[in-house]
Order: sequence, then C-alpha cells, then structure tokens
Amino acid sequence: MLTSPFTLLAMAWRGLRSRWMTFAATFLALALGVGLVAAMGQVLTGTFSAPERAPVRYANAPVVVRALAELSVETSHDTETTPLPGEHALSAGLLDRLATLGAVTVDRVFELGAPGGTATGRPWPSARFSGTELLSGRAPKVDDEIVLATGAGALGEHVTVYTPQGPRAYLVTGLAASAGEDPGVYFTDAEAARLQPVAGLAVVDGPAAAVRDLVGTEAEVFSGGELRLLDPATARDEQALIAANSLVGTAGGIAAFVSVFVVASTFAFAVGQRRREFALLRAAGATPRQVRRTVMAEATLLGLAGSAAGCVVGDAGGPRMAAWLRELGMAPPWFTVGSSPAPFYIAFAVGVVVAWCGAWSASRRAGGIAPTEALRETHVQARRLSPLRALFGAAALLGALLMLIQPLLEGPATLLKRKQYTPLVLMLLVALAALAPLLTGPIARLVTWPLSRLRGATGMLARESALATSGRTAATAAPILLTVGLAICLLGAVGTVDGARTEEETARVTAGYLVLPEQAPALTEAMATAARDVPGAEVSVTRETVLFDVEEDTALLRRQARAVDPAAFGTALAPPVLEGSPGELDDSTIVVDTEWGRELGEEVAIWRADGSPVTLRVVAVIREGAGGNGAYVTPANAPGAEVGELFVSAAPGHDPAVVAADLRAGLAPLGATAVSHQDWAASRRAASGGVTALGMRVVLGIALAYTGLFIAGTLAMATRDRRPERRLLRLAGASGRQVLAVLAVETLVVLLVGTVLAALAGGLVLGGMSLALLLLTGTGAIVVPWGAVALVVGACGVVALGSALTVAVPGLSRP
Amino acid sequence: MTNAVRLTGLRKTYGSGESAVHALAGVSLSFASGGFTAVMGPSGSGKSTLLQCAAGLDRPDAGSVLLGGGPPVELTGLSEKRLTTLRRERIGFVFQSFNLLPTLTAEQNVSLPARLAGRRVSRKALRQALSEVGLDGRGGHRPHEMSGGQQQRVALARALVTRPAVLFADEPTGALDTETGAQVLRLLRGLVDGHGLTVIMVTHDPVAASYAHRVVYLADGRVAGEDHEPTPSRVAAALADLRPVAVAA
Repeated sequence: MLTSPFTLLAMAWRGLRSRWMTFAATFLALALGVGLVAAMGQVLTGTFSAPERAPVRYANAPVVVRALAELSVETSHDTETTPLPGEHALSAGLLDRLATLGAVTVDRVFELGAPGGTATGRPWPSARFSGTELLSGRAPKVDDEIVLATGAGALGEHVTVYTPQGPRAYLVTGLAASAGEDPGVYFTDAEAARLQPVAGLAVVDGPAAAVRDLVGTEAEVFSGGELRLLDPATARDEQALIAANSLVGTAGGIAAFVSVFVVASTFAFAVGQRRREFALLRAAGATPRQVRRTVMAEATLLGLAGSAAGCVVGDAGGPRMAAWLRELGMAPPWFTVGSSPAPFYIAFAVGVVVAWCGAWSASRRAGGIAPTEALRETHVQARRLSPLRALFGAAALLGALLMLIQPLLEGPATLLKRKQYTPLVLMLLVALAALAPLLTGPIARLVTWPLSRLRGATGMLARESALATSGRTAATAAPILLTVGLAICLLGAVGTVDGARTEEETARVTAGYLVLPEQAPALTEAMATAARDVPGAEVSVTRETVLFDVEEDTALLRRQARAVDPAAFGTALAPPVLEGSPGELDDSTIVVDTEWGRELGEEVAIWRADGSPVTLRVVAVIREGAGGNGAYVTPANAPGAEVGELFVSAAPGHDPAVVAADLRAGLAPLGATAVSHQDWAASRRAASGGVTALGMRVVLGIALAYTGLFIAGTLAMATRDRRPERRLLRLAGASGRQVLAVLAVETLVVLLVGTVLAALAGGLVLGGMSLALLLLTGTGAIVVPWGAVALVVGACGVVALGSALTVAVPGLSRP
Repeated sequence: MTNAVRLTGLRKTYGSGESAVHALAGVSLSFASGGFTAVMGPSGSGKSTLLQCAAGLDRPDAGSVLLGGGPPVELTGLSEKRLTTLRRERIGFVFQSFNLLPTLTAEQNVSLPARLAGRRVSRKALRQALSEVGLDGRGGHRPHEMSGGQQQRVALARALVTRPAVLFADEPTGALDTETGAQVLRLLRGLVDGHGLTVIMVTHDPVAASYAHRVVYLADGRVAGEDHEPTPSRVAAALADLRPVAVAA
C-alpha cells in the first residue's frame, strides 16, 4: 500500500476537516439556539409591561370622576364583584354635590364616522383638558357647528358626520390642534348631550382628596398619573400587549423547544459520529471513564463558547425581532424588547445544560465502545434503542396521548386552544423522535418498496442502506420530522380551528342579506328602521349583551348572549340545536349552549346586563361549537343592548335583487350597506385566521429557519461520515454521477421517512381535533394546509439535497 | 498468445523537488491472457501504484497502459467516465479489505456492477457466481455476518460476474489467516486454469506468490527480476536479495 508522507498528511487533514465540520455544526446549532431563546426571551419580557405614558385626554384636568356600575354576588366562598357592560351615567345628585367642591365639566365620549374615518366625539368645553387649542376659527355656538382637528376639514365647509343618532351635516367653525389625542370632533355641550345622553364622566376643578371623600364608592376618581388610565391608548396598549404576549409566549415555547431539541440531537449525533475515534482511544488504552470525561470536557467547553456566542446573537436578534413584530402589526408601534438581563442568563444556562445533557447520554455510549470497533472498517449494525431512550419516548408518547384524550373526555373545546395543542404537538414530536429508530425500519421499508422494483443499482443501494442502518436513518430524519411535523401540526391546527369557526359563524346565519356599517362606525336603530321600511324586507336584529351566571356556587361568570326576536329563528338564524325549540323563546325563557351545562326545562337564575336578577327557563340547548355559540334571550332581558347584527331576507313573492337594491338605497344615507350572505361568507373565509394565522406563520418561520439549518448540519455530518462507503461504491465500478444519484435518492428516502413520521404526528393531532370538533359542532372537518406543507417539505428537500451533495461532490472524480 | 495488459514506460511521481518519490520509474511489462502473475517487492517498491495504474484507478504521469480482452484500449488519456465504464466492463478488482458495500447482502453486492451498468442480473446467474466461489446459500447474508474468507470470496464473485478480461488483486489474502488465504488462492488458480481468467496479483507473501505462473519483482519503481513457476523458497530468496537495495533507497 502507498504510505508516502503526503498521504499521511492528507489523511490527517481530512480527519481535521471532518472534526472541524462537526465542531462548526455543533457550535452553530448551539449559538443560534441560545440566540433564539435569548431573543425570544427579550421580546417576551417586552410584553410584560406597557410604557408609562403621561395622561393625554385629561392632561390638564385636576380630578376626573367616572360613573361606576358593578354587580356583586354572594357565592359560597365570598362576594364576587364584576363591572357591568355599557355606558353608565353619573347621577344628577352626585354632580350637584361635586359642584360644591369646584367647577364641574361634564364630559361625554362617543364614536363617530367622520370624513377622515372613525373619530371620537366630545363636547368642546372638555377639549381644553387635553390641551387642544383652536388654531383658527371659533368654538361651536349652535347645534350644527363643530370644531375639527386640523387636516380633517376646512373652515366654513359643511361635512356629514355619522353620529350614534344618525348622519347630520355640520358647519366647520374651527380647527384645533390635538395634543396626541385621537382625531376628535367637538360639538356644543347641548349637541353632545343629544348624541350621547349618558353623562359618564365629569372633570372637577377641586382637590382630589375632597372629591374622593365625597364620592366614596359611588364612582371612580382619577387624579395625577391615574388620569392616564382614561386614555383610550392605555386600553389599546394593554390589549395589544395581551395579544403580543400570547403570540410571543407560544413562539418562545416553540423556540425553546426547538433549540433544546436541535442542540441535544446535534451533540448526540456529533458524539455518535466519532465512534471510531473513541474506539481508537479505547484501543490505545483509555478507560471508558476517560472517554466519557473527554466527551464531557469537550461538551462543556463547546457549551460555554456556543452559549456565549448565542447571547451575542440574541442581543442583536431580539430588537430585530421586536421590529419585525411591529412592522407586521402584531405588536404596537412603541413596542421594544425588555431591559431585563434575565433572558440572557436563562438562555446561557439552557445552552450549557442542554449541551451537557445531549453529550451525557452520547458519552455513556462512547464509553461503552469496544476497542475492537477500531479494527472494523465499516459497521452497519442497526443501533439499538437504548432502554433509557425507549422509556423516555414512551413517557413522552403517553403524555402526548393524555393531553389529546383528556380534553376529548372532559371538554373538547380546550383542545382547540393554542395553549393546549401547542405543548401537545411538541410533546408528540419529541416522542416520535425518541422512538424513531423503532418506526424507521417499517416506514423505510414502505417508502422504498417501489425502489426494490427498479433494475438499476441506485434504488437497491438507497433502499438497502436505509434498511440496514435504520438507526442512522432515524437520526438523519429527526430534523425533517421536527420541521415538517411543526408545519403540519401547527398550521393544520390553526387552519382547522379557524375554518371551523368561520364555517360555524356563516352557517349560523340563514338570512339572504346582512347590513354592515360603511361610513358609520356601527349599526344603529335608525338603520334597522330604514331596513324595515323597504317593501318586502323581513328584518331581524340581534343585540350583543352579557348575562351573569354563578357556576357551581363559586365563580361569577360573564357569558356572551344575543338578544333576538324569536321570529328570527325561522327567517335569519339557525343555531345548531341539540334539543328543544328556539322558536319558543319568550321573555321568561332562554336558549343556551352546552357550555352552560344546563338541561332542557331547567330554571336558570341569572343577572341581566344591568345587574337585575331574573330566572329563565331553558327552552332549547344548542351546540357549544368551535367558538362558543353562547345564549339567546329576548330584548326584554338585554337592557341597554345596542344593535349587533342586522339581517334582511326577501319576503315570499318579492324579488331578492329588488329588495337588495331598495335596501342599499335606503341605507346609503345612513352610512351603511347590505351584502349578500354569499359575499359575506366568502369575505369571512378570506379573512379567516388573520392575525392568528399570520402570527403562527411568523413563529413557525423563525423556528423552521433554524431547523432548516439543523437539517443542513445533520446531513452534512452524516454525508461526510459516509465517505468510505462512497469510495467503495466507486471501486465497485460506479461513476461519480452514479454515486451522487445514490446519495440523492438516499437523501430523498430520509426526507420521505421524516415526512411520514411528521404525517403520523399530524394525523394524531388533527384526528384528535376532528373528533373534538365532531363533538362540539357535529362536523369534524379538518383543514390541512397542503400548500404550506408542500412548501416546507420541498424546502427541506432542497436544503437536505444541497447540503449532502455539497459535501459529497469534492473528491468524487477519482475512486 | 495475446496480452491482456501491456504496460510501456510507466512513470508515476508523488510530490516534487527534494521530497519527490518516484513510485514508478519507467516500468514496461506484458501480462499474457490466461496467466496468473504475482507482482512482488518490498514496501515502497511501487507495486500497488503499478496495480492501480494498470487497473485505471490511478493515472500514470507518463507511459501507456494497453488493455486487451476485446478491442485494445489505451487507458491513459481516457475520461474519468470512460474509465469507470471500462473498469466496470473489462476489469475485475479484489482488495485486501474486501471493499464490499456493508449495507448490501452478498447477492446484492455481486449484482452491483451489472446494475451499475444498467443491466439486470438473473437470480440464477447470481447464485451460480456465488456457487463458483463456494458460497452456496450465503447470498442473503450481509458482509458483517460472514468471515473474512467468505467476504473475500463474495468480492471475487463480484469481480468475476461481469466476465472481466483481467482480474487485479491487491494483497487479496493480506487480511486472512493462512488456511483461508490458501483457499482463496486455490480458487484463483483454479479459475485461471479452468476458465482462462487472467489474474494480476500484488502480494508480499512468498507462499501466495507461489500459486502464480509467473512472478515479477519490483524495486524502487523498476522491474528487478522475473521468475516462472515459482516456489515459496525461491521467491523468499529473491526477495531477500532485493531488500538491502530497497533499504538503501
């Protein structure tokens, strides 16, 4: 044999290069994983608190009193109190008493449709409290005069404003600069009182302490920094943060999971790859303990270095991720990362510990390598599933199945919640990855069966290689299982839930047309009246209200309900009835969904939206549905409820097209229009998911970019590792192109095996969801995002093939 | 008698300048069809390089390799693709380390060259090929389930299944014990005498060389002698004469 010093040098260089690639892959996996966790952590801490802002609307107000309406109910434990919905008025008596402490300015706030879009209507006298000043013109003096924000109109112009009392033309007498407030329309005191009869707020020019003493528990009092709480921006900020927190929480969970998975697998893979090296160490006299210590020492060094690099990555990535969320509208414009260093400490610790754990199990295997393995050229014994791994995989599988089955038995609706199914998906993927060596054999046999029918060598080699080394196939397929599994399960779950909710929402309505506000900010009584005036129009109105219910004598629940005329059940609405008949609904009865847990004919003691108690008998029970179908009562039991939905159908003998045209003509002056049920359902379907689906795509996008690198790294290492096999193939007479073809087919087999494993996970998750939906809605339709899944599988294939071929191509020209 | 392989003025140098190693320094040799030739020499004599150049696995710096057993083909200057095809069709090769695909069964390993050429091999032909090397009933075994001697016989069956013009063997018994090695060598000699196979074998073992019709000695990349119908003692003596020269180099 040839033993020139150059060959030795080349061999040493090759060894170094293969180690170098392993080190680089492990280091990168760790640095990016830790970076991902650190970045997500920073973003998550950013969602914990909104920025403290100075008051805007009442920046110049000494004290503000806001009307308060609450319902207090004695439960078996204590007194539960909850605020009542809607606008509440300050009593005239209280206003009179407040006037003894200083000047009182009554304020009213209401939504409008103005030329520039939705605006806030207020009486001009309270504008000064937000520092809004006239820039030109004068204050409104009579009912049909207004002041607008600069840019919203011109002095002397007549503009139509869609008020809660209907549209009206106003003369613009003044233009004002608003100090950071939402665009405002300012009316005379009298006109504001006509448009919003409820006087819910009062600014008192007096000492805060005295006002508090006087008001007592009758109303809420705000002064100083508390005035901020009255700004609409404060509530918006909180809402936005809740949404962002929920999204980033899910994203963080997925990112942390993916990072741990990838880092642990990469370390285990890297150690497993060096069997021969460890066998040589053993042959040279190293004890198993020494081999283990070598592995652990390396893992510690690499863990520390990689985690440190990861913190640098996270420091740069966190703010970028926050900016991304802002740009996509998933976080408010002021959103930034938190300043706490905790995410870095946690991410660093996670990196080091996970590197250790990944290396630990591998080091035990490394220590157990027999010195004789060094003598073997190549070995193909399918790596057996270690008992520890089997136990771990079985436990994870059991956990995942429990998480799937328990909601099906106890409350199927929970299975449709992201917080329930996300951990379930992650757990299931871990279980499948751990048990993959058991499943890979049969799956590989199945997917490569067509290859055995082929004449050439490529199919045979790829099939036999996948079958003979199912342990290696399982390890290489793991990143594909993870990537494709996340895509199928999570996108499928989001799509299925969204699809079911949209379907349910559109199926509930049977009316031919729906009235929707256009320029007006909301539906009004006037629109209902206008609709009723159209010849041949059968009009049904639903009103959104709430009912308060005490569950099991412990918890005071706020339940959504709709108030309807019972006739609507025949013409406009078809809720999914389980028993009873909704048509029998009257002022002493109620229709409930199964979430209420009430029987047909049962008397239900509840409280109305204004806090008044009432006892209603259940005349029908409807399905809970995917989004909660809620309850139905008559308008008598929905005090203060405003028009929520407006349905119109053509009466028998009338042409629907004519009715629709008349309807649109009648509604146009009121700033509303009518759409057909078909168009409405189509637009609901198109908008289905919306932010949730987009959020999930972003979350997945980040996770999948990382797992894509994992695929590339794993395949590069595996391909590098199998260089001797390719040489054997060349010596057996295969051309370079044939060797590459075999490699490509092998890689595709791995892709298929991973995809089949992922499909198993998807089948279980979506199957469970289908069952839950069947129980909830009566139809178990699931939505599989085929396009997205195909895209992910395709991308995995490109990455896997690209990485494997890039590693294999050099050095193929000669056997 | 026609030549299976004719080498003319083969040169191969590794490295350059001071550290240049002349593995082959102008070797001309002919190997007759149906002959069994052993190529011997001390370590570094260039015998493996000779074999690899002759088999088209490596390219000489100068000289010619003419392959017979069909229309004569000059190997030097062929594209890598043509070389691969030619190796598959006309050349068999067995190695010291067997070089079987570990994931394939014996039968699949034997079928590999034909499949690589895009031909289907009948099960009957495969069984017969394995039977010829004395491996009846072992077709379904993977390499790691077989002994070294059995693996080398699978490698032999694989090399012979395409009916090559010449079989190159690089230390075919190097990894085997004496008795197993002798079996493999008897098999080779039997194939040469019974089926007219041409074998060129590199070895450093005088006993192995004694199975050949002819032995060629190499030293310092040159032909240093030749012998016919060798015996182990003659070969050992010849090698001992060569050794001081190699050490001096």
